[in-house]
Formats: sequence, structure tokens, C-alpha cells
Amino acid sequence: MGKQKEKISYESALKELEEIQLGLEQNEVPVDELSEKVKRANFLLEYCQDLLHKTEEDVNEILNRDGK
Amino acid sequence: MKYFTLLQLNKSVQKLVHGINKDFWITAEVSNVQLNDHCYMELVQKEGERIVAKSRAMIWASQLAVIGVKLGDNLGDLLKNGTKLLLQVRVTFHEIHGMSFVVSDIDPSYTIGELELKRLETIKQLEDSGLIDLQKSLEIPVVVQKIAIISSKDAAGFTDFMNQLTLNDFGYKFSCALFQTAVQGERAEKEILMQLGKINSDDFDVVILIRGGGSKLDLEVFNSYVISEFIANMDIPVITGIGHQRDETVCDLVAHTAMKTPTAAAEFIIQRSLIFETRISSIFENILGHANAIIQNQKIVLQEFKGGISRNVMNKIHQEKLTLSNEKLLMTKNLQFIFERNKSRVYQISKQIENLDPQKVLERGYSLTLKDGKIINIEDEIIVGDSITTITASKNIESTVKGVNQKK
Repeated sequence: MGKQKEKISYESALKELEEIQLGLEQNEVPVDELSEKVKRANFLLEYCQDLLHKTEEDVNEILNRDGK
Repeated sequence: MKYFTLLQLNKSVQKLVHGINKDFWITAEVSNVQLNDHCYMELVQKEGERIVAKSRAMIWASQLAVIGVKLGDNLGDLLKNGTKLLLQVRVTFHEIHGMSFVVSDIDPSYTIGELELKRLETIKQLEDSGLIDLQKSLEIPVVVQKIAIISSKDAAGFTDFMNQLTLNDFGYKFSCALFQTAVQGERAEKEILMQLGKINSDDFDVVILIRGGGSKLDLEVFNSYVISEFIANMDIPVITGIGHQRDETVCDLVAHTAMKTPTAAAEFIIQRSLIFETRISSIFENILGHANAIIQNQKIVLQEFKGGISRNVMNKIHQEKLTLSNEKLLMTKNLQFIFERNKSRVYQISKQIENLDPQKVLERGYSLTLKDGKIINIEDEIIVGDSITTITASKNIESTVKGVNQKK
């Protein structure tokens, strides 16, 4: 799969992460799909973390620009 | 017939009049004032619009100076057409000019009292016409930036106002337009009215009506009914800053907001901008605060996901491993069991076979009987006298048959 140029919203990425999490907890993931699901979860996590980081940078820039 | 000359009659009258030799305090309305060195005027008494009494009067220059010292700046306002005065007069009669009064003193408190009565009347009129609160229903914009000023550029009040406004500590900028007018004296009422009329409510946020401190008479124009009426009907808020702390004019009452002085009016405007700026600053801070909180919160959420998912996956894998190793264990046990079971079966069979060994049977006490070297079986004939051999575990016995019992 690798890192696609997928543009999903933060919210929908979170939602998908939740679904994967739930599936694992309730033991609904067959061993075949385990590796793929983990890969996907990792991708989503990194995507969200990047998005969050960028947002934090933007907000801090505004903060600092205002001389606070 | 006795007759006199005109001069004689007039001179007699003059003597009579000058014989009064007393000053009187009278109330009268001033009209036709002419102020040169001496002051000439007409005094009238009106009932409504109708004149019921009239007389000429004058003030000598010297006396005018004395009165001027007493009244100060009010002199100009008092000696104004239409003013009701309380004056001290002496009646004079001149053979040519006729009767006239010479004014020796003026009591300003009467005029002020009259003015006060007029003021109260004006207020009542405005109340009755429902005008007095009209302006209050207007709204001053949250931030005032475009200001129409009615004042005189020479007035101290105006300079105070402008200084306060332009030199404010916060760097706020305002756009002001001065509508120049006199703020006291005869021309004031007309000029103020005219300038008020020129103001276009689309161009400005507020109108500022200001003048500096002065006597009650100085401020009298701001008690004018026509000006107050006009202000009441304006659709742009009017803010007044007239005189000093104590003064309150009718304009102050009809205006949207009355401040005590021109400086206070400027402060009022600056405060609005300050409050607004503070408010949006704090809203902005609030927004930033919330944004940051959300970001930090989400960081934690993501961490938890990371932890949760990896935990769950490891658990799952571990679980599967356990399951597999359990299977293996189970299978091994089963195999072992099968082997054991087979081993013991084989052993049992071999033991059984062992026991069937004839030697073992003999050892158990059984014997074998032979005739003619062959094992006798059920069908064989055995008669008395036959020679048989009995084989036991330890010996072979030769015997001869003595008897045979056939079993049923």
C-alpha cells in the first residue's frame, strides 16, 4: 500500500482507527487480515499525527506573530 | 384764557418728573438695543405678542462700565433683544425727547430666574411632544470612528476635545469634521441650527455638541427649544459635552448621551474603542486557548490509539501462538496416548501368547497324555491294557490303562 496521496479528513481517519481498534478488541480480525489492518492503522496514525503537528505549527505561528 | 408755550408745559412736566427723585426697580423686555459708548434701547412689556407698555431707556457709558464690571461676561447676553431684565431706572423727561429711563443697575438673577422658568417650560413642551426620549432609542455604534462636531474652533472646549481624542494613549484614530458655529451670543441659535441641518447621518457615527465652561447665560443657547427639538428628531445619536460639571442644559436632556465636559465626551468615545478592543483580544485569546487544548487533547487520543492498537495486535498474535502451541500439545498427548495404548495391547497379546506355550501349561500342573507317541484327542479309542505316556513338567510317566469312563 505504501504512503498514498490520500486526502481524508482527520475525523474520518480517527473513525477508521476506532473501527480497527474495536475489531481487534472484539477478536473479529482473522489472522490473514491482521498484518494489513496493522499497516493501515499505522498509516492512519501517522497521517493524523502529521496533520495535528502542522495545525499546531500554524496556531503557534499566529500566536507568536501577535507578539505574545 | 390762560395758555402756555409747549416749552413751558414740558418744563413743568420735567420738574414734576424729576421731583420723583427716586429710582425704581422694574421688569421689562429689552428690544432695539444699540450699544455704542452709551447704550440705547427700548423697554417693552408684552402680554403674549401684544405690547402693553413701552418706554425708551439708556445707560450712560460710565454706568455701563460699572455694570459691566458687576456682570462680567454676562453683560452681552443680558443686553440682548428679547431678554427680560430687572433694572433699576430713574424716570427722566426731556423737553424735546420726551420721557425716557436712565438705567443705573441690572440684577442678573431675575433674568437667570426667568431663564430657568423658560428652561423648565421648554422641557415640559418637549416631554409633552414625546420628543425628550426620542434620541435614547438610537444606538451608538460599538466603535465610533466618524464624528461630526458642532462647536467653535476658537472655543476652549473644542481644543480640549480634539486634544483628548487625537492624543489618546491607545493610538486609536478618529475622523472628525467640524461644523463651525458660534456657541453663545445672538447668532448662536441660528448658526447651530443651520450646522445641525447640514449633517448627513450616512456620513457619521455620532454628532458631538460641545462647548467649554461659562456662565449660565453663556450656555443659554443650549436651552433653546428649536435646537433641542431638532436634536430630538435627528436619526443620528448626539453626544453633548457642554460646560462644566454642574451645568445641565435642555440639549443635554434630549441628546442620546450627555457628558459633563468636552473632555469627558472625548473619553466616552475612546472608552468604547478600548472596551471593544479588549473584548476581541480576549475572544482571540480564548480561541487560541481552545485551539491549543483541542490539539493537545488530540495528541493524547492518537497516542492512546497507537498504544491500544499495538497492544491489541500483540495480544491477538500472542493468543494465536498460544492456540497453536495448545494444539501441538494436545496432538502430542494424543499421539503419546495412542502409542501407550498400542504398546500395552501388544504386551498383553504377547503375554497371552506366552501363557499359551505348552511348557507353561505343563508348569501350571497340567499333563499331556500320549499313545504310541501321539497326543490323544477326543476321537481316539483308548482301551484297557493300552500303554500310554503321561508327560508332566518334570517327568514322563509310562502307564497301562486300567479303566475308561466315558463322560456324557
